[in-house]
Amino acid sequence: MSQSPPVTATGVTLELVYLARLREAFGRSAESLTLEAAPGAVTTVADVLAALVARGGEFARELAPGRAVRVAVNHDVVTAQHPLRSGDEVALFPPVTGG
Amino acid sequence: MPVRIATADFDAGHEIAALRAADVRVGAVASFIGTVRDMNDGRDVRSLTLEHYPGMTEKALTAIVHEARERFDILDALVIHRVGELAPGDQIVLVAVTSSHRDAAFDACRFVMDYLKTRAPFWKKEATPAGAHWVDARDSDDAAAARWNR
Repeated sequence: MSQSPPVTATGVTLELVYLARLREAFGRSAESLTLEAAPGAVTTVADVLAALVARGGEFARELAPGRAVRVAVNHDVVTAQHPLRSGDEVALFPPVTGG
Repeated sequence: MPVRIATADFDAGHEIAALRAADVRVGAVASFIGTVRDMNDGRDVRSLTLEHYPGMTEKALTAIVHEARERFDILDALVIHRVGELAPGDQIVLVAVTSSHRDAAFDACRFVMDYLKTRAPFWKKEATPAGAHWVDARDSDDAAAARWNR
């Protein structure tokens, strides 16, 4: 039996979705984001936010501590500690104003 | 379907008649209609555009209706929420609830609206003479939803 190839892919690829005012601020409605993680480490929503803030500009402004941003993973609202897997859809949006 | 997202307007009378006709046990119907106001925070509203998150919107509203069924002794509930560009006076949302007795219908209708205002992924953008801007969420909506905490 042949050995399986060594696991080299430690990246988590996510589909990011931006809604409402955040879409306008970021200048895009969606993008793919791949985060590298140490083997065995869990990538969380907080890691995604940190990666976006690191871009500076509008990302740093809108996602700064204290700014009201909601996050949903695969259509369920979650907290920053929520663990992520490749293929997850991560949506960022302002507090909702329907009704 | 208990939950509907639509661009077209709805006929509340028609929808409520359908809810009533579906179950002989109905003794009470409570409903709410939200409409576009022509003034907000002192600004003239020329139009209101409702954006939503396709994929999550129906899931979130369905979960709210499901929770209403669990908490209150109701027979059925309906939520219709419009999206797209609306004018002052236009209807935005309909919530209708049927039950045998009025307490459950009143409470469930209020509950669904309080949760919709804080959990359903819609966002409003107002067009005014001074330009377009996104409507801010209100603290009073969070307080209203918190009233239902168990």
